[in-house]
Amino acid sequence: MTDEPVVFVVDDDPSVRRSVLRLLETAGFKVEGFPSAEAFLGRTRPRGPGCVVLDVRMPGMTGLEAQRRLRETGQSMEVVFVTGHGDVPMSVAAMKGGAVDFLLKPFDDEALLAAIDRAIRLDRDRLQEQRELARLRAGYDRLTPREQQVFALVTAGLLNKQVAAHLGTSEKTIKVHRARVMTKMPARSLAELVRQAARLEITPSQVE
Amino acid sequence: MGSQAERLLGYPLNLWYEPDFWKTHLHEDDRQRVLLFREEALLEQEAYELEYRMIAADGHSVWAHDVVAVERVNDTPTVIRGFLIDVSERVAAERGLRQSEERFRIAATLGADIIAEVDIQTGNVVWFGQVDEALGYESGAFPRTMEGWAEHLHSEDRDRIRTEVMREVVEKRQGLSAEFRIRARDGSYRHWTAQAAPLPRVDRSPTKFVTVCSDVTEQIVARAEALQHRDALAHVARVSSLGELTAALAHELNQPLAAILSNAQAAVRLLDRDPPETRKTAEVLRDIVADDRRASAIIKRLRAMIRRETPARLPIDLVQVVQEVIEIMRGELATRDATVVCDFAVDLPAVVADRIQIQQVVVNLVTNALQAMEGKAESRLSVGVHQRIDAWQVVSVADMGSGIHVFMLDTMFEPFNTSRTGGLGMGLSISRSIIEAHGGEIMAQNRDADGAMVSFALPPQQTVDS
Repeated sequence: MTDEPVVFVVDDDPSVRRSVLRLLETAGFKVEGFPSAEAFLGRTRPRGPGCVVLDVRMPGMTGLEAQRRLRETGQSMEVVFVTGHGDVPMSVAAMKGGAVDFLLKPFDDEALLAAIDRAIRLDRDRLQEQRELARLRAGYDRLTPREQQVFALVTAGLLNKQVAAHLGTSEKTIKVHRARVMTKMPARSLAELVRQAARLEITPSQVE
Repeated sequence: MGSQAERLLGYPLNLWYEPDFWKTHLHEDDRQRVLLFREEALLEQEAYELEYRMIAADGHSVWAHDVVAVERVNDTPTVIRGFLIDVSERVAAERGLRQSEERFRIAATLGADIIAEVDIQTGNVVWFGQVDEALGYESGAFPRTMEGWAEHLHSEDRDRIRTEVMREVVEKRQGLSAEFRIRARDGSYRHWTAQAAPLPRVDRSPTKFVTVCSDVTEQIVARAEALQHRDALAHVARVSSLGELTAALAHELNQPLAAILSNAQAAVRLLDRDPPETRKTAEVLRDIVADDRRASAIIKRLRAMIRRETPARLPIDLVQVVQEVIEIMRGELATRDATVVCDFAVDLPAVVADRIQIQQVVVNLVTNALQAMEGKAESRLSVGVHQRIDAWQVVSVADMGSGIHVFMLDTMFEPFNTSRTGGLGMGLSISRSIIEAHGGEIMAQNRDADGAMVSFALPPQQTVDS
């Protein structure tokens, strides 16, 4: 598993594509170029963080359209737009669609690299978030139904005694379940367990 | 009876002495009234005055003013001395006046005009016509005073109109013509024109004025729309070709420019490495050269495009073309407070050219000249059309700006050459393309006094290639 960021460059103009790829390469990025939005959308998303430098005006699918597709198909990826002739409505649409930046050609390397850095940071944060959530979910899935009930009630603020009464068992049994929940999730404290419940959006009503 | 009677009806005097002459020559419609009145007057033995019509020899009726004195002999009224005056003209005038008054009243009630009689001493206003309706008020609700009227004027017009009324009407007792906005009940403003004239008085200076007001809102709106329309048209004519061209051009040119910039910056990074990657850098530089060639090809294509458009070649009057441009640009000239001094030769022969393209060139030259004078205290343009000794016709536009920098004189007609921030530097380049396509020449020079002069010359008709 590599965590090296990848920057995709989508531009129908071969010499622009080539020069931008070259610039990013010399700046130390792993890069991949595509001559059209369609070709770009057809690739497989890498595991690591990444972003796309997307030309707005292209024959076939436009950059704005590609941005919409990415959003719709849940392929989260940060977008830096570049265009040879931008207008205000175009840039508004791009920024509303969640673009990191909107650069006019010819653009300065500083501006492009700053935008890409920002985009990759955002993407990395989001990947981190996703991975953490996946790990939590895996931990939660390992819990038995009884343990899931205990997890929900304890994190809803009930004392062991109350949980026992609620589930019609002894406080001692609850203590055992609770200890298993902490190990499996894993969580070091009740406070952490409560945070995990919030992120997993677990409420007692879901496990009754 | 005197000779006056003879003149009155055109009958010889002796006829007047015939019994019943007077009676039989009374106008039918007046006869009964006159005879009755006369009888009563005789009974009362009083002098009387009466006006009635008589029939003249030529059949026309004549208005006569009859002054009759009864002379008494031994207290018995015997002699009646009549004194007849022809008052036809006066009566006709009076009747005309009555008719015109009537017409005036009817016009005021029916027409869109609103008439006011203003007493400048009391400030009272009598409105004829539907002033209340015109401004959306209940009948009689609009103020009947000058002050009340003034309060309904648009705040931007109020002081001006008040001053004019005070000076012209109240002080000088003169007529006044004014245009102003007046507030209607719903808060909207109507445009009115008003003409005020004093009501003549013989003894003293007039204190009453008649004012005729017309609602010209529709005309004003139409006029404004027409102006806007014309401006829009002119604007479209001016920028459409150039604007579209430059937008397309900007997009196309920005591609190689972007590639060049990215490549150059990549090359800097490659050379900054230790050791510098010269082999890779050379590759990058070759790409830069290629993109640069591509950029200049785009510009060549653009210039070819301007030349290729099969232009109209018709005889045109250059003076007229220049005048049209000045007309089109009047708005722009006015906003910049610029004056135009024209010096046009008379009776110039037509030149064969594309009117629109030549206009485009003149617009470019005038626009440049105006921009050159930006920030100057005085903006004065000199526009001239004259014929050279070799029969070429020259259009020149001179400004009072800071002149053209020596470095620019040679290159100013090249594309993207501009001394202005925000300018594309295409105007003069396109102008040159147009003029050259016409077989003409374009040139620029600094004037001895402040400023620069840009002019173009077109060859006479017969030497133009068809």
